[in-house]
Amino acid sequence: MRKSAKLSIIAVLLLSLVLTACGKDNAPGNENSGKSDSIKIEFFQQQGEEAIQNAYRKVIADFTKEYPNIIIDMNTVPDPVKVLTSRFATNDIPPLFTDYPTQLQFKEKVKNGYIENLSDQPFIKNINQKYLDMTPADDGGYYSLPYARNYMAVYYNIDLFEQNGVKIPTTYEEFIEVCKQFQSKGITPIYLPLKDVGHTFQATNIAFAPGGVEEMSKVANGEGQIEGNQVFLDFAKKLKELTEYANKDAFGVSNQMMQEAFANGQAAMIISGSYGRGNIKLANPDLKFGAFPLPNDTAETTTVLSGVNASLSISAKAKPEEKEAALTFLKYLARPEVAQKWSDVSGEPSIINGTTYGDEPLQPLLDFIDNGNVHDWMSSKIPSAIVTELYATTQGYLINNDTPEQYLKNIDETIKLNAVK
Amino acid sequence: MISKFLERSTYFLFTLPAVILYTLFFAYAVFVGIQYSFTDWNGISAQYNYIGFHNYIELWNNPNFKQSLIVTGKYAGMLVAGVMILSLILALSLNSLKKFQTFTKSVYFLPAMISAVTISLIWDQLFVRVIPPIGEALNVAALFQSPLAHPKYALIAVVVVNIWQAVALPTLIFIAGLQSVPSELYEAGRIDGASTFNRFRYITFPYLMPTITVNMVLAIKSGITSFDYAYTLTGGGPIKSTNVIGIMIYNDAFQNLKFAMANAESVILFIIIAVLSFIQIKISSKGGVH
Repeated sequence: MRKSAKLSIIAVLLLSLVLTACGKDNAPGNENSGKSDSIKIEFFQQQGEEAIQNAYRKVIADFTKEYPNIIIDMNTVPDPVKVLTSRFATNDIPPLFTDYPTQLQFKEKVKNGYIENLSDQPFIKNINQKYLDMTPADDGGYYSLPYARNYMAVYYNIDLFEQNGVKIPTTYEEFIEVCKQFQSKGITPIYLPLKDVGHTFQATNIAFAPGGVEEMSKVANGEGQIEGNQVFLDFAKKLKELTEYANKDAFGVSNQMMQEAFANGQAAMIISGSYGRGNIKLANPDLKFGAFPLPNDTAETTTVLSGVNASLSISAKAKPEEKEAALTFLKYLARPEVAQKWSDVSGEPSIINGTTYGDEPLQPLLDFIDNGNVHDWMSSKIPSAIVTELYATTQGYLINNDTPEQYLKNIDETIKLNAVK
Repeated sequence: MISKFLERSTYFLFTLPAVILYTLFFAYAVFVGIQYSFTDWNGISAQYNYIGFHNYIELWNNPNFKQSLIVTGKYAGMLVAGVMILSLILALSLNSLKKFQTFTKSVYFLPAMISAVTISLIWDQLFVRVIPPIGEALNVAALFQSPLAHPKYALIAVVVVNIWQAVALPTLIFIAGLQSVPSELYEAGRIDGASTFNRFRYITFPYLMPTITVNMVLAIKSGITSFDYAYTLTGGGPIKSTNVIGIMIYNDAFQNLKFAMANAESVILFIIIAVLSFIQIKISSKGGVH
């Protein structure tokens, strides 16, 4: 009798323990109970590059000095795009987060009322008009603070170019000539990361097939086809030609390994995103490198892939006090002097008016972007499901050594298979 | 009377925490998942419509899904074969060690204590930095690149990494099984003149049967639901040659905004695992010593 009574008490206690653990903590405020009016908000920051994280950390530290009652808790995770989507799916939206406003996915989030409208905020006027124009949602409103631009370009090793008397190419023909020159001297001309073929595909397609993204978008909408398209055939041939001048183990090389190899002087050029700059600097602070657009047949037809980098948005589902704190932070970030500091530390070209870019060898590329042909990332026009499937299609073309004609056929098939029906 | 009731309900109460947790976190999730698989939810939108078996029909016609199932099948097959054979050999040899048995066992158990992602990152570097120089030295064209770069070898390479870690636990379970075999039987066998193979076949094997069942079920399940090794080593590439069903589900749900479709894929995976486990337990429950 006594034993069973004891047992039941233990069992009930165990049960209550489980149930308590399941209960939601409804207590208001947070750990900072010392300062009752202080608020802590999560800042879901998508860019894992060390330099960018560091820049945000510095700016947040300054911000906390000015607004001691607002604590910005930056959270950066691996595979952030997917993590953020899963948090939207489970209604666990971070109050403050970075996202890509030009992408169709972002517009879907706006359409469903998850993101705060920032159109009336004064800081919207502080943003470079050219980039601001890329970001409106379907209703014409602005739902994020675009903070920096990004691009895909050729990074070149300045020392290797100077030592070998090589000039910066401005046409595709010159580019191949440069590759031949390096190859004849036993230097790997271009280091390709074909394991992560994605951004190489985007950069080369936009450079070598002007209007190609729009063509593919048409196919996704059930009109037209890529097969037989001369512009795409040229693109396919050029893409394959590039691999002839690439490192032998290209298919096993990831983006990060490419950045390391370039930083260590193993190749004269890479096709890199602006996000690679920080890692290269980290791997070898002494490397001198510049950038030029990946050239097409003529300088006039050369197009650079450039878009708005991760921009800052506020969740419409956040509590009013969280929204207010997040907005205070955005207003602070949009100050030119803060944006300048962020740009200097991160190395990302800011698009807040009144900032200048500190990295001189990269300036010519930014000038080209300001004055020349620019195209946004593919997922601004094509659902990202299709874009990522095209990566595998492109990998297949290069690994299987398919004909360009077959590759174009496969592109059509991939787009049709993954298009929203 | 009261004491009897108390005692009975007590045992039930003890199971209650587990029942509640299981219902909350497993059964409920499964039902909601099945429900979503009949909708067109994209994971973000506030509204969705019920579309019946549309997702399942589309999957049936999707070559990528079929390919993914085949890749998963190959993966599971290679994993099960590799893990079962290797762990049985390891267990037999470790069990017959006379000295340093505990130490050697712990050495073989070491890989099980490292996370799959860490192991994948280490092997990725091994594959890309160690294999190509060996290939060039031996002049074997297949080894000029990381095996992960070849559509033909990538899956094998991923499975090798998985096996490297996965043998540890089954080995331990096998050793436990081996120690349950009464030594008199071996003695009797020897006196009757049974060969080493026959002693294994007619004494060890029947005693190991329940252990083999457990290990088989675990290996099949981990092979079919595998995700982490392939995802970190190759991301499903090159050209989808390692695109196991787990990766397809993950990408469709969180990257391609086809949440309902991903749920339909999971339901099919669930059915496959359920059927396989059922068949397997049925088959292996015959024979063997229990």
